[in-house]
This record gives sequence, structure tokens and C-alpha cells, in this order.
Amino acid sequence: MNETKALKKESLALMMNEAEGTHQTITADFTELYRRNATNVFYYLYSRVRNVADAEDLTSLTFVTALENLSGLRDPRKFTPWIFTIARNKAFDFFRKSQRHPTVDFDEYLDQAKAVGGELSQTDQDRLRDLDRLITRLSPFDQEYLRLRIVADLSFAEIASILSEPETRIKKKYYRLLERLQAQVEK
Amino acid sequence: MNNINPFEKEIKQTYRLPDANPAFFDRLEAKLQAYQHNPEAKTKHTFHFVRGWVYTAGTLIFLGALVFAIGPSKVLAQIQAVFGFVPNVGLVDTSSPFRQLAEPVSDTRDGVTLDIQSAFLSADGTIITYTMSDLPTEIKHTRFGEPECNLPAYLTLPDGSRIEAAGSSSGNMPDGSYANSIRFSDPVPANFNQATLVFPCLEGTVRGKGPEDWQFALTFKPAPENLAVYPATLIPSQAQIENPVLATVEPATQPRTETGIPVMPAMIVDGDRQEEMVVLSVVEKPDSYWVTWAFPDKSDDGIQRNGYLYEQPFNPVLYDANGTQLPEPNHETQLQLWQYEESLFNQLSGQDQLKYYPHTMYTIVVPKSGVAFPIYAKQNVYERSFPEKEAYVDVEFDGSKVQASDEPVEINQKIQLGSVKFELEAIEKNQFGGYSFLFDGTEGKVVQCQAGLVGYTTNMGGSSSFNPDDPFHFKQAEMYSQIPTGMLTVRVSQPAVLGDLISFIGSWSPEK
Repeated sequence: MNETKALKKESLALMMNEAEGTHQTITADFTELYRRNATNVFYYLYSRVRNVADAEDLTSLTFVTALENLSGLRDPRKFTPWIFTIARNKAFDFFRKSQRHPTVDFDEYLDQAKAVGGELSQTDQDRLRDLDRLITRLSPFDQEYLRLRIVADLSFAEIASILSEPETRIKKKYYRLLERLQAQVEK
Repeated sequence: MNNINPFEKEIKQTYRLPDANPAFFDRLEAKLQAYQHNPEAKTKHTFHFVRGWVYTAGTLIFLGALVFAIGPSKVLAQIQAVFGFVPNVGLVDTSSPFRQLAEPVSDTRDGVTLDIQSAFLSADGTIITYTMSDLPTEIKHTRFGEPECNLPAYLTLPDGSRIEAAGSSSGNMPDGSYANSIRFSDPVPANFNQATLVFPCLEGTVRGKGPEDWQFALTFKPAPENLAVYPATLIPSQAQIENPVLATVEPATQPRTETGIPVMPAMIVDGDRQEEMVVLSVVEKPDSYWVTWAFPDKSDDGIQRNGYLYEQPFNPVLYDANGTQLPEPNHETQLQLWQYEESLFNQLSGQDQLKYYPHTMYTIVVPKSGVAFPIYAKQNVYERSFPEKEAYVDVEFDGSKVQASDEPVEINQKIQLGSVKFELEAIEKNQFGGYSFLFDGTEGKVVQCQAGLVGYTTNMGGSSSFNPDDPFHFKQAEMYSQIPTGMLTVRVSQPAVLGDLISFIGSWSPEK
């Protein structure tokens, strides 16, 4: 277990001891929980909507909803999967209400990368473009595994909790998905 | 932070995450703090379960918590057996009384505690749920590839006979324990109200490190009479196809053309041709119906790799009689539908299991009100065919040159197999140790073929995914443990030719 995760676990365990299920202490620690999760929630939402302004709006909505419903969180140790469950629902609502779909403009991104000095070779550009194309063609569920693991930086246990799927199944699916993608992009 | 490998880092790059704006996060934090200290803002608190918690808990307490009234007693138009949908259990045969666990059983061994929480016994099988808690770190399965216990539990009966598990699943609980369920497809005979549940080892833990041969004595009793059971109709597809008389007793009142394909509103139809999607099952819930449609998946077993006859790059869509597209279910409902589909799959005949599951079966929630019936489900697929299965063409190339090049080596070899024409444009090396063959199938509408080196045995191969925007440029790859070099011959065969866009359509409306 790395330092960040160990720290998180220890701190949350302490919080749980203090809280003893009371709303008061959980609320008092909400700021700390917010600081730990906000960036990853934002990145996750950005990976869904591909727009900074929308991702910021949805991040705000996610945490406000969490705060409003904090009394429903029976186990503070589950805050991270809980907040991502809310974030996912906000993203679903966003697409449902707006009838919008994330747009992908890979060339624009590559141009930006060049502009900030991150010059990519033609081979790297092609490879990333291929990879991006492959990812956008994955099923929504496979795409979600990648977002939750790589963008949201969640553990398999947390992903399992969010998706209500067995952890071992998610691990296997995830690694098989990586193998498949890698094989396809190498071709 | 997760340790991600270089390939995962590449994947992360594709999301082109922007730099987070500290000012935004500061503003939001201030807003949340202000919100916390404003009691007026919190008056909207309502009793609210965490979704994930509800699910996992639901799997454990399905018997204890099911206190709903029995659904309206209804004689169903069954063709085979009488089925009911029991929430958190699934589709079960209701032809004999249900039984359940008389009382939970618990035991602790090697620091691990198993609580056998519930059992549900019906005429067609048994489902047992249990929790596994306090797992020592050393027996948790944490590393991919580590040997894992995969021996399922089994039941022994007083007469010494044994019932094997047909499947099992597990999930995390909020307290860090694991919620598990085991399904036995053979029923426990009604004359036995006792059985022993035996765990050879604990599934999902590290093999050889946890408790082994762990036994639990179980006692069963009749299930409560007020158990919620929603009427369900299971319609074997065989009956629908071979016996049109039986098909008329479906709850679905399907307007049909002479070919059996429902007449859809014109604005919905977009395929080159239409084929029928059948209704496999219907569950009637208080506010909605769960309707499962399916069309037969087809494949050509004579094709070395990927002989599927349909490409499915699209999702199914549902319309009402006015042509209004109905919304997709939310994630929570989708999970319930998948659970239901699993139980439905277990009830299908072996023939139907092979025919439909899992890619061509879709369960859709149909609201009872606010929808103009009949409703129409549509799944568009592209048809593929393999007109030339035996013919092949050999193409020579310099493998050393390909392996030495960072760019694809142009071949531009026209290929004709029977009447099918396409082109081997180039060959490139791939990172796994082998060759990728780049084809242009535009002329003959080719979207896939087989390509392998003559005289060498591949240890892995694959092809590029179907791209509906550019389907005729594709790659075939072959990998080898020892990369062949020098002058090589690639044999090209079995081209897959793209055909019509087929709209599988089905309609359904509630029984009049």
C-alpha cells in the first residue's frame, strides 16, 4: 500500500472512531474528504464531458449533493466510492438532459501538446490517435473501467463498490481489457 | 495513487486532462463550508440510502426484508413452467413451495468469519448467500495472476448425494466484508430439510492460504407466504418459431407482417432490411414491465478466428407507438437488469442459451403509463458473410526488412479469392513480436480475413476492431514466440464481406 492510500485509510479509520455514526463529525471532516477527492472527481467528470466548464459545474453539483445527503452515508470509509457514484449519476443526468455527447477532437489535443513543448513524434501521435479511437469504440462499461481506474485513480475495491461488481471480476476484466487494447494498438 | 504502467499512462494521455484550476477548487471549498454552516440549506435532508450499500445489503437480506405483498395472483400464459421474479433472487420456478434457511449459521476459522445469511430453495434450484469477513491480508487475492481458489462450494444431502454449484458471485460490503452468493441448479429434494454446505476453499482468496474443507450444517423451512413474487412469462424461442399457435398466447400482442416482423412506424426503420427480434420473457412489476428481447447470434464455425456473422457497433433503441425514443435505464436499474438477465439465462433452454446469450439479449424497462403501446425495440447490426472459405493466396515478403523498419513496408499486392477482391497494402512489425498485415478491403467490401505465416505456428493473433466509419481498412496480426525473419510467405484466406445493415425489430404491448 502506498503512502497516500495508507494515510487515507488511517485517517478515515480515526474519523470513524470519532464519528461513531454521528453526522456531526462526518460533516466536520467533509472539507478534508473534499480536498482528498475533488481533483480526481473533476478529472473523472472531465473525462466524461470533455469540457472544463461543464466538468467544474458537475464537480460542484456532485459535492453539494454529497453534502446534502451526508446523513445517508452509513459508513464514512465508503466516502470515495460514494462520491464517485454521485459523480457518475451527475454525468448521466448531464447527458440525459442536454442530449449532448462528449466530442473528441484528437488533432486539436495534439496541436496543444506541441504548443506547450510536448512535441510528439509522428509515431507517438499515430499511436495515441489509434489508442483514442480504440477506447472510444469500447463498450460504455469498458470505458468506465478505464476512467475509474486510470483517471479517477480508484482502487479495484472502490471500483467494485461503485459498480456493484465483484472485485476479482473487475480486476480480471480490467487487465484483459488492457491486454486487448495493447494488442490492438500494437498491430 | 495507483501505480500505473506505461501503457496505462498512454491511455491517460488520451483523456488529455487539463491542469486543475486551484481557484476553482478554493471557491468550491468555500461554498461547501458556507453551505455546511447554513442550517437552512440542510432542511431538505431526506432518508437516503447509498446506492451501492442498498445493492450489497440487498443480496444478503433478500428473505428477511421481502415483506411485500404477493403480486396480484395471475394465471400466466405459460408455455413450459410457471415462473416468478423474486427480487434479489431472480427468475424462479414457482411450481412448488419455496423454502428458506431456518436460521443463519456462522463460524470463524483461521481468523475468517463466514456467515451463511440466507438460502432460497425452489423447484429449479437453490441460491445461498453468505458474507466473508475479517479476511487476513495474506489470504486476500490482491495481485493479478496470483493463484486463486476457484473451487466452488457444494451441498451434501443426508443420503450422501452431492449437489454441485452452477455458479457463484461476490461483491464488497461497506464494512469491508464480502457478500457472496452460490447458485445450485439442481434442487434440494422436498423430503430433505437439511444439507451440509462445504467450502473446499474460499473462492477468490489466495490458493492454499485460507481455511479448507469448511462445513456448515443448514436447516431449511418453508418461505413466508407474503414473499414478493412478480408474475413472469418465459417464452422459449423454439415455441415461437416452430409453433405459431403457441406464439399467439404470448403476452405480447405483436402486430406482424406475413414474415413475422412487426410493422414499425416508418420513421424508425433505417436498415437495408428488417428481421424479427423475439420476446424471450416479460416480468410484470408494479409500475413497469421488464421485457427481454433477443435475436439469434450466428457464427460460422469454419472460420479460424471470429466467424461471427453480425457486427454490432450500435446499441439497441426503444420507441413507443408515436415514434418517441424511450430513455435508457439509469445505472442502478441497469445493474438490476443484468442480474435479472443472468437468472433468465439460467432458465433458458440449452439451445436458447447458445443462441442468444450474452450479446444478443436485451432487457428493457417499459413503464406502464405515459407510453403509447405497442413499443418497438430495434437493434441495428451489419451482416457479414464468408463466401470463400477454402481459397487462399500466398504472398512473399522480406521479414527482415519489416522487422528492421519503423514504418510499414508497402506491399500493394492485389488479392482475389474467388470473386472477392481486396489488397494487402503493407506489413509492419508489432511490439509483441510478429507481423501486422494492413489490408484495404474497399473493392470487395472486405472487413476481415485470416493472415498467417506459412510454416510457422503463431502463439497469438488478432484483428483490428470494426470501425463503422472506415470499415474496409483493417489489420490482421500474428505473433510468434520466435520472430521469423528472412523471406517469408503470408497466406491470406477467408475474407469476411460486409453485407446489409439489418434492423432487428420487435414490438410488444401488455396483454389485453
